[in-house]
Amino acid sequence: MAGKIAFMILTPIVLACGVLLGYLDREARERGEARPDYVDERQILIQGKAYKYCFALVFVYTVLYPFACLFWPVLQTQAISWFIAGWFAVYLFFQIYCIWKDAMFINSDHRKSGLNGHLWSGIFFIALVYFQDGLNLEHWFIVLLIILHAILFLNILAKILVDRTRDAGD
Amino acid sequence: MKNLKLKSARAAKDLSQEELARRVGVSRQTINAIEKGDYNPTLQLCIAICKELGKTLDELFWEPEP
Repeated sequence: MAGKIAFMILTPIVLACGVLLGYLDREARERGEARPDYVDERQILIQGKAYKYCFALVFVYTVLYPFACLFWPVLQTQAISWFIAGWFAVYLFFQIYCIWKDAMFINSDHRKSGLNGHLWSGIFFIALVYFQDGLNLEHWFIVLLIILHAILFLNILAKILVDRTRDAGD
Repeated sequence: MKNLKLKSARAAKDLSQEELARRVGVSRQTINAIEKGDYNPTLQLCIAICKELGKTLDELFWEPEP
């Protein structure tokens, strides 16, 4: 039964990931062909800085996590989910850092497509949980994805609102 | 320190930050950061901006001694 449920959950995820990767690959190619000269030095510098912070965070986290498991029994029983949640948090940090430092999107259209992407991805994963057997802890990975998309969506939205007020005079 | 010379040169050419950014191949926020003095661009980007606005490096980026 558990295998059947896992199959029902994993198959659509794998298919969706395949479709998403194909779409992203096509988008990247089109963008590259349309704007081969686009190299924003400031964005690259900020992304490099964020990557450096994330690398340090992941390194510390990976070293400390086994020690935390020794002293906190909850981490032992749900070791993998908590461990992957930490990686998600670091990925979120990278994205949010770049969003607020204006290093994530080429222009406002690109930012709007990012906003839409997170919105629809969040809705897709919520629907996936809904059409399975409801929200429970077995879906922790999908729940993490929903939280991730929701946080990124809210951050981009907040940044758009902040920019509208701050850059009004430019 | 704000780069008002860049801002006025851009305005004289009737270009928005978005349009100038598109022409020199960077994001609008980068042009905004340069105008506000929050970011020091590389020589390569300075030259690209100067060529686009029809100005020299001295005219846009040289600050005279006080």
